[in-house]
Amino acid sequence: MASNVERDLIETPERLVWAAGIAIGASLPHWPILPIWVPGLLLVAVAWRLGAARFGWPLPNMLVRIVFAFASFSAVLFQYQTINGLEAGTALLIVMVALKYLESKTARDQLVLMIIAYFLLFASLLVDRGFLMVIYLLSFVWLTTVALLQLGRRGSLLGTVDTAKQAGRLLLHAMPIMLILFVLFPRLPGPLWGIPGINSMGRSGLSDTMSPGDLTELGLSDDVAFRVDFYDIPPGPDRLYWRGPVLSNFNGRTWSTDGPGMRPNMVDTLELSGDPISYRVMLEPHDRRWVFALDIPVEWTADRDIRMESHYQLVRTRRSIRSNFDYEVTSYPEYRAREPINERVREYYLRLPADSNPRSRELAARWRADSSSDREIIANALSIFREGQFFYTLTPPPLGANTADDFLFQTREGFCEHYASAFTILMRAAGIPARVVTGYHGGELNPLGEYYIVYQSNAHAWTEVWLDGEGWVRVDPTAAVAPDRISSGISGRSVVGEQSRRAAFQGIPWIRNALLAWDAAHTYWNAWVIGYGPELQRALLEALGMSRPHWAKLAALAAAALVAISALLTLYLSWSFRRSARRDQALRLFERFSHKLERAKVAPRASSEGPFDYGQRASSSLPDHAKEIDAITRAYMKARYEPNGDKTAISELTGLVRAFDPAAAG
Amino acid sequence: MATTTLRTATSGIDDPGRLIEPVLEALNHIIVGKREELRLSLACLLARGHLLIEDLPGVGKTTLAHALAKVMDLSYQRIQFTSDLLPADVIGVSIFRRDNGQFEFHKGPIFSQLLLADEINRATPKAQSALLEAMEERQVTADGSTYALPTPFFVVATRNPTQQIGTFPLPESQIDRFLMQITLGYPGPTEERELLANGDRRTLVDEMDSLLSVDALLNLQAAVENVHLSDALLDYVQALIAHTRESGEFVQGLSPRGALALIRAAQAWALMAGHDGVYPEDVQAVLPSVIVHRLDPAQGRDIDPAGTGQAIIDAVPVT
Repeated sequence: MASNVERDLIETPERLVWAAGIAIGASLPHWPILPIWVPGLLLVAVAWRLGAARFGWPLPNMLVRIVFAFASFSAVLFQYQTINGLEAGTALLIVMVALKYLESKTARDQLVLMIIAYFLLFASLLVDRGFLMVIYLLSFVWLTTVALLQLGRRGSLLGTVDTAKQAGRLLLHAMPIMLILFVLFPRLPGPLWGIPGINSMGRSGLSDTMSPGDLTELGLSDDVAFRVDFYDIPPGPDRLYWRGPVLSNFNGRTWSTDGPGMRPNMVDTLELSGDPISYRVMLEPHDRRWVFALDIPVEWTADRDIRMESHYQLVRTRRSIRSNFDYEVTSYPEYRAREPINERVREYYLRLPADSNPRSRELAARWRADSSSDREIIANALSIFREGQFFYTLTPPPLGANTADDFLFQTREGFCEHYASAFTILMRAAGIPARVVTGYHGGELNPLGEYYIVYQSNAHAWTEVWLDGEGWVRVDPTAAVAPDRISSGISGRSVVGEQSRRAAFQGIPWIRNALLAWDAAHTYWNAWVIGYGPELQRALLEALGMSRPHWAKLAALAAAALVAISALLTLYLSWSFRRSARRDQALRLFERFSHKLERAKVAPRASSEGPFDYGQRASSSLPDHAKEIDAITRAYMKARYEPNGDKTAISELTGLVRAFDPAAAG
Repeated sequence: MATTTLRTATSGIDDPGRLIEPVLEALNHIIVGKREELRLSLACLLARGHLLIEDLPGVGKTTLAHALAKVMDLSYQRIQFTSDLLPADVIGVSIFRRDNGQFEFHKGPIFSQLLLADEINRATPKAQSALLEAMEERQVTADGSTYALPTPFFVVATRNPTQQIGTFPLPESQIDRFLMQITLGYPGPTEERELLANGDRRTLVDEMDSLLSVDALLNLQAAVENVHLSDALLDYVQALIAHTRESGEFVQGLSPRGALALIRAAQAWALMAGHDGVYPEDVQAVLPSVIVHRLDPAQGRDIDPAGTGQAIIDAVPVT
């Protein structure tokens, strides 16, 4: 049971507000992933407790609190069907914080809350490890330390600024330990435990199907899909086609990837030419297994993890990408497949649902009859896009059942997927094997970091047609309609009056620069801190002259460095303490004198007893030594409190104290 | 605190104790059995502070003030504070002189070297502040002209215990202007018997000799400020101040002005004790009377105001 004094102390609103601020701030990063009632409960508990302190509202008694505890525990269990795992665990923790805050009566309760706050802050790294979050986190660790110092005081709170400085010093002392653990702690490939892909939830990205209107959402999204660092000269925009899912199946409305077993087995022997392009891709999590690369990827890192599908798409073999994923690729921009495809494969890429798009089929059949080559048919098709009053817009009118017919002959408004879809249908109808390729096109160069940013709004769809003797050839029908979109690499969305936020800011230089600078900081953070895994660690250690150390050796090294740093810190701190103590050599001599008196049965000096008073008391209880005691006291007062308390006074005191021996018979 | 170590000791005064002890002795003859209180009063005067005496009527407050004035040859005035007292009654009034057609300022009773402000909390805040402001500024402004108060200027104010009816409490900011507050209290039985046997002390006051010249007093006052303050002592004083602020025992801690008052009073005490520097004991001696009127115990702390100072001293170790 706490004493009344402690209870009074925490009733001061200042302490309650500190604790409330930390409890709310530490749990804030978790709010987005929690059901609304969890933060709601916390806020209600905080308001209730503060109201009780301020306006004397009644607080729940023990029975009600127990009911509350059971109810909220059951609510968490009901919500998640478990109390395990990140979200359920966090929800439970925050519910507990709310109830603990509500019942907090003693300083100890508040200190417990602070410790939980540290834990919640740490756990927020499981939600988000972005740059912004880490800044928030570090500042809140500092604030929590300030609160811990403040709430640990028995008296009234001290100035926040002074306490903040003190907390900052404490954290600075801890900094070397943090760095050593970060650099040397043995790294495991991949996360230690499965961090759920919260990042990717609700975030837009490509999908494995495409129906009219799907990419509209992406067209307006400012989210970053990935960033690319080219090792040499970046290729021009006409080559910046980042290949994603290849869609070969059409059901009359929706294009989709092949299901298992549907794709004919096709091994192409490619003839590569042109200068290879090497680059590093930093992929944002998108909860799919796709890995983006320029045509046509030949070599890539993490090769055990990434393989190429028969239609040239790279995919990750095991897990979908739920955290930032880095890889390096070398691509050849030009390639040829000399071997013809077999009939079965040709059939596969010519399939169209029967009875759909009669007008388009008719048009294609006419072309086939009039043309001598596939090339000519392609040119015919592109020319109707170019010359037939087609418009590029992100807000096209809806299409009926025969999507290609409606689009080609009626609405004539659409964006890449409409063009790619209609073009592919025309090609197939004309007997040319064709498929839709989705992915991203272009990217924005960040001059601060010399890398490209590819946004979701760069999502694109184009067509590949099979030409005998050449292989799969990329044809981008959108380029025929909106060449700007292709040549600039940035969307030509301004033509439709619908702009993304980023596009709206592009015109204001300083905002644009600030956004790019922010992105550069973010990218380096991801590349060097979040991305600090086994490979970077090995590279760093090799640079330090250690090649491929065993993890046990690494752990031993980390431990040794920790011990060394702790020893150094201890030395430093004791040195700075001693420096202030050295001033008080006189005090230590006087304490020695006090010990001698204690052995001579003089009652010890009370901590608040002045030395002069003490000396007089000692003189009167040891009258035989009164003269020496008076001399020592006077020398001490002189050394410590009088203006000429210099070295001679100290040495006089040293001699007197050394000679003093009250235990001997006087 | 390098500057404090450079301060030189009591320059110009060979032995302050030799000057002060006879004064104390003479006062002790008038106010019997209150040696400690007299010493504090004198320290307050040497520290250029003003003295507040909270006590019942008739325990010798007036006699003490009068005796102090007499023994140091100071001009003496007394103002009885009442609820209808006006500021002009304290500082003076401008009167139109018909013969030369000009206003002439008639100085009020405040223009004296030792002023006894009796029952100060019986007056309205307006009249109180007229006095208290003059105490702080050591000058009076009336009708646009400023008149310096005489030096030394020493106010001994008395107040009735605040529980009494018909009192206006002094605001905290004004009560801060008094360096010390002391209580005389009833004399002990022996002293009271002597008092009863020897009759009215006021006649004795009239017969007192002046023992300290104004010049000597001013010298002593100057010497007080030069009494050495060592780092170790300042550490101790800071620990005391921190305790008043952090322990939660008081509504508010000691203000910087209060802390400075503590130092100044301790310097005066050290000078009177003949110490070359301020000792922790000097601080402990003056602390109760310096803080008693400045600190309000926090709610729920039932501390006898008189015990507050000792409680602080006991709680803070001397280092």
